[in-house]
Amino acid sequence: MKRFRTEVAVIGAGPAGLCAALEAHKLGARVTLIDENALPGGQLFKQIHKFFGSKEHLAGVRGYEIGRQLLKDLERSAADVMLNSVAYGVFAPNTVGVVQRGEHYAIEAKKIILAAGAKENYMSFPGSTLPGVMGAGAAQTMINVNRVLPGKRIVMLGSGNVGLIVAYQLMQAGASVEALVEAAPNIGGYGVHAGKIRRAGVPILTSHTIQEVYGDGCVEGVMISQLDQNWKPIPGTERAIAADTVCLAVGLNPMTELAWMAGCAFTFLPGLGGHVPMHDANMRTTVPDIYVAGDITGVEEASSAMEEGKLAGIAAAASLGYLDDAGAELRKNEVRARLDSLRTGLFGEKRQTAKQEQMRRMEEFCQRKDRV
Amino acid sequence: MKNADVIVIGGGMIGLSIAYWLTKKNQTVLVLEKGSTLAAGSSGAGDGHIYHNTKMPGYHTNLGFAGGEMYPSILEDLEDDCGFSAHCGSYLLCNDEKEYEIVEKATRKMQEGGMDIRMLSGDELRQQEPCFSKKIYGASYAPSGGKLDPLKLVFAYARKAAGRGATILCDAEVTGVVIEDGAVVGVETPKGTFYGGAVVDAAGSWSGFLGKAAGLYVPVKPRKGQIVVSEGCAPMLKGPVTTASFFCAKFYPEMMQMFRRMTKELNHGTAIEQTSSGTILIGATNEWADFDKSNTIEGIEWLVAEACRAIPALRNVHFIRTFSGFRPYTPDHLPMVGATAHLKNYFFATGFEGGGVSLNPAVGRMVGELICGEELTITNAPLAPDRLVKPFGEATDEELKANLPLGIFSA
Repeated sequence: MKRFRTEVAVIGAGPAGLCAALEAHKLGARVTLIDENALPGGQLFKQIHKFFGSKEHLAGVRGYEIGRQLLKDLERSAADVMLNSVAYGVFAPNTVGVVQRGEHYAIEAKKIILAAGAKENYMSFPGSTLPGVMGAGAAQTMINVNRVLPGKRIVMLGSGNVGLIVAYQLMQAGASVEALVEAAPNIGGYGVHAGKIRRAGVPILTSHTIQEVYGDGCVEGVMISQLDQNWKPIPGTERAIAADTVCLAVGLNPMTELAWMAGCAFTFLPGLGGHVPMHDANMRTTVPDIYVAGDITGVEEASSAMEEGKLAGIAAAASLGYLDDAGAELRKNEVRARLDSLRTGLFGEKRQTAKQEQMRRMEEFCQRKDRV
Repeated sequence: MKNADVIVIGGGMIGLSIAYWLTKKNQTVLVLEKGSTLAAGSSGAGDGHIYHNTKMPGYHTNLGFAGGEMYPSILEDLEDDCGFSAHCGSYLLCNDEKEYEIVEKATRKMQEGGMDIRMLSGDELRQQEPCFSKKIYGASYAPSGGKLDPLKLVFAYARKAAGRGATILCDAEVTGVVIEDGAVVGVETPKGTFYGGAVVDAAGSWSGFLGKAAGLYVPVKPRKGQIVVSEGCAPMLKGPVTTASFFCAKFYPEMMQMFRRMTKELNHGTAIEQTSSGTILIGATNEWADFDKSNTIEGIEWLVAEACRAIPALRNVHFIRTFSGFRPYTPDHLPMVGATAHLKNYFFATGFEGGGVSLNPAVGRMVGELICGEELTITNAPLAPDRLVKPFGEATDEELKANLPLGIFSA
């Protein structure tokens, strides 16, 4: 086992982790960025669509272009980057266990920023383990990163933004999307995304669900049926759709294992994807030297993940003395204002409410702890 | 005014085995567990070895052997197989000639006690369990060794005892012991004071605290063991395995000098078992950490490295979880089972230091027979508590410091 020390260890080199590492490094902290993949960037490199929001949120810029810029900034920096490196545990005192190509490292950091992201939810139904049934994110990685088409005839389950965007990108990559199936009575994602695939002739079947996926050793078709007001299948509405691939876009949940292991206090917020580590306005958890940023704090978007990363990076560097209190507050407030403006509109507001509830519970937790 | 004939303190496999045997003898039993669930201590944090090669040669080994042989009929009565695998054989691995000599000497003593334990050369070992590395020099082999799921066992005992009228309360930590005229008559808990004709300490690592509440010096303290768990694997290992250093750490601490540095520091011995569900459990360190339950990076690394050294195929297996637990250690490495002259109607069944899986059947029966005044199937003489137990006030400062948990001084 090799041991070394660093000032700020950042786990996860997606949008949140990259921004956290860059920000802390820019302020003078010694940073080690750890990611299990061969390349940094996380999900950014599969996001070939343009971002929404305002100019300072890089609206109109495509995800992978943002990723490239961040990687350039990272290359120019002197931050240590450990790739192909699995951070498997957080131990006392402030030590991250990492395995890189069979080599074992114990990295002792003054501050640890957890930016592990989120993972896709799965759904089980008869045939859900057949080859050809996959997460929509997996299909997106195949087409946009690896340039491999997972199949020719796709059925997408779920009409949130992931389902809508990936369905469109699968068509751009040359596949035919046979149907987009949504159990709710309304489309989940942005109208502008839904409009694009509607105009391309893809039926979006709301109040429908997958009964079964059938096939001999691989996906050959999907049996769907209509749902009534109580989300129960209506007998007689079953219909078969020929397909070779089924993509599941049924939500994400935060990858919180390291935060659990580090002893962070959690709270349950369905609006953010389930159990999330509580954090304060500096992204600091209930364990004083551990910060969180991005989807691990609740599933949102790359733009808010980047801002949360910056906030955590600034806060961690400031706590190490690289910024005075007034300077730190100024920078942090800029980021907080951008985060607030990202969390507006029909979709943003829901997240803003959930985030505010999270913050309220964190305050309550700290007060209770003080009293004890 | 009596709540039960017998109050058993501790909801682990020892306490529940006792409850099982007592209810079988038509006693009314109340089990009090401080945790929020049964098996909250060692019973829920260990492996399931029914192991005969790792006990002290002589009486201790024979008691474990007797326990192992009792399982088939007990499990039939419990109507649960508890993942039991009888006679799959257990092994004590020796890395080199020196370790082999130590183990051989102990094995000879066990054979003199009538146990079927044999020495195997490396090649003979690999004929039986081909997964072992060529580096393993040899092993002792007990054909009667077995394994089971300790969690399932605890709950199966509990179901049976409850079915026969026992009351089992969790979140019921004993905070005081009620004594009248030199005899125990009851115990205090947050759930109320309970009265019984006899009280049994089956509190494992927490017996030191309980002893103090009863005015007794009961030298038991926690010894931490860390365990690593793998993903489910195809069958590769039939019998449970332990290395010679585990045996030495327990019974011949002075011999630990011959082992590698980390083995010495962690008092480590590798114990490997493939469970009935295919997961591989790798234990366990033997650390003094009081009641600090955290896993350490050094502990995990050493466990996995040593296991891979013994079974090279484990290098291709994912390890998915770690945990740790406490073995109740006693200064002479033997448990305490029986009555004490210092407090009437108070019985001990504690200090098993990781041997509970093989020992609980015979110990449960033993305590049942003792309390009911029956003739003992196996004598408890070598385990009689008063070799160690005395009034708390008579223990020296050195004894208190050396043999009790740290918290005893603030408690």
